[in-house]
Amino acid sequence: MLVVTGISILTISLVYFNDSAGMIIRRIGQEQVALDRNAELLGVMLRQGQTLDSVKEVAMAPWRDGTGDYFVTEKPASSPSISNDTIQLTASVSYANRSFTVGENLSKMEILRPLKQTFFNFISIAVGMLLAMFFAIRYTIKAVSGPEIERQRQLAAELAVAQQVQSGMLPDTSSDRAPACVETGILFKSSKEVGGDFYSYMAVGTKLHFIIADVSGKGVPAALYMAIASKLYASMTSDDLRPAEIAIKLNEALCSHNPTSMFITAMICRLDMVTGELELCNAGHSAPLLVSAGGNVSQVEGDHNLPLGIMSGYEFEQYMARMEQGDHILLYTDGVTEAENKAGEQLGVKPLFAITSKHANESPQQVVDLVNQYIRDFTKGRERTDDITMLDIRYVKPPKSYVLHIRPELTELAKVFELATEANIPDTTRLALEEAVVNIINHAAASAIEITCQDMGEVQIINITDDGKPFNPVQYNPPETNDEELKVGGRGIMLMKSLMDKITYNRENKRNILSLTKQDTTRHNTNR
Amino acid sequence: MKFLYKTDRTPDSITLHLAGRLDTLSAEGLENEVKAILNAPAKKIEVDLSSLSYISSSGLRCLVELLKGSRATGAEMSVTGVQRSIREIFDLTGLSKIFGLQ
Repeated sequence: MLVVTGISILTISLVYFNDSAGMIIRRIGQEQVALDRNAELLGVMLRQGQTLDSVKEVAMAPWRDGTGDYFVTEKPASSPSISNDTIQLTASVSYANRSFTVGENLSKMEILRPLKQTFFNFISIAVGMLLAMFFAIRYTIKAVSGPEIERQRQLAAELAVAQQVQSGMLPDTSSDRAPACVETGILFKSSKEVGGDFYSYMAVGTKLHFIIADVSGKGVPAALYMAIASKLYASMTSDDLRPAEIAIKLNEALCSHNPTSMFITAMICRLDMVTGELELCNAGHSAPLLVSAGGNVSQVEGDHNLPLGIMSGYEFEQYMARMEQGDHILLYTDGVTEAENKAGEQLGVKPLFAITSKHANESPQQVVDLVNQYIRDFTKGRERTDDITMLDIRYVKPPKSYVLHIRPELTELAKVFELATEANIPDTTRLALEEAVVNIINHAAASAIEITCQDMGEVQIINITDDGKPFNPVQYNPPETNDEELKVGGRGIMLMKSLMDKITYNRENKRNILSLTKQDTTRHNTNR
Repeated sequence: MKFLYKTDRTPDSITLHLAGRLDTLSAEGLENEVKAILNAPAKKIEVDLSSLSYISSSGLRCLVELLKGSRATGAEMSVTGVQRSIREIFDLTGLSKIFGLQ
């Protein structure tokens, strides 16, 4: 019964989503904004009941061009046309750079068109499945709880599930522990049930990738776009790309399927946890705050780029900063700095400087909580209109490092075992290390081997470098023999691959560099 | 713990006890012992791994050599006392079935 319901609802929701996307937008009351380049007009669709004042607010959203200028709304139109449950109106806008466009050259009416089929690329099918899932849940609830359920309640239940689905996509500090080299603090608050902000952090080797991003618009459409973007981001970080490369790839992916002209502002970062070197790529976002352990605060400014999803072929630039041990970096979305008080004044960035400076020695989560408390007090008596997201990261210390140089002889293995004992390397990793080194000694004709071990608590990374013949064990398949079961060799590499979480091979400067990564939760933060 | 081995012989059977860490270095000594066993095999050859805590592919190679040799002489070889961590290595390399581990 449940399965039948699930399948039929899957079909229904795909059709529903595909053909009547405009309906969803109306039902959720989501603002959609479009720019008409020629007429310099901003078109907005609002749910009835919202006041004209909120048009100003939409236009004040973080729309920036390549020079960092904001688009500014002048007076909203005084005579909106009202039909059914929506209000359409236009307001004139001025922007600094005339050649800049947001998406296609949209007319003010086109914002009401349904989403096109092209929206259904391979990723959004997955999102469609998620939608289908919670539609299925919703209808199943309906089936067991009797006849008619009030539409409002259905919608609320639906959004509650959507909220769960969305928060499941984001890392959280309890289950997604960062390596012992860093600490993280998070605030994630949507103004609606689901939001268009997202953040992520992920260690790849000795690098920590992190991002904060803000999708144009709010509610379900923004959340869907966020889901796509965050999955794309996750797949790119696992390849350990530079932030600018991630931005370029994300931008191309988002531009290729973007019929609704949504875009994303983002701060994309990569921290080298060994050196403290920080690479940043700013895609139309607010620059983060760097807070020294002594309480000095600076905004880490550098190259500004377009937001993601606007112009295909755009070359993103990145810039560098350095984090010392004990430094915080605070990333935030403009929901923080543009939070308004009763009098309509914005919070701005100054309170962030003051709070982070005063509490530079607190944990990231405490810092974020203190800022959140300040925002709550500041905005008392006024409804929150934008998503608020913060990600604070403290660089605690570099990983513990071990280095060993050996000659390519089997007797030298004793030194490798000593290193393993000294670095407290568990047996599974030790076995992979032994197999890798023995393989080099026996086959590479190298003159020297270097072994480094970076201990980050739960995660250990071992790099083995030799100057021998090029050999990529990651792609090695043992030659087939007649007696496959009782073959004598070829098991070492197989073992190495199955015992490690990740193995990468690079050939650089006539050297083979093999990197073994193992996550071991039983070693939780042993080097703290 | 260092690697240690001991061979017990009765007229019908040979029991090879392995203890400690069997890595590439310690496997060299075991190779000779395997040859010695195969030079004078018995009907039953048992390898007792109950005190073995670590094995690398070089160690596995010795056991595979012993198994091949026993089959050639018609001896019946078995592996006993396999601990969980060692069993994992047998499983990963696809050797569990060949050594008749349940």
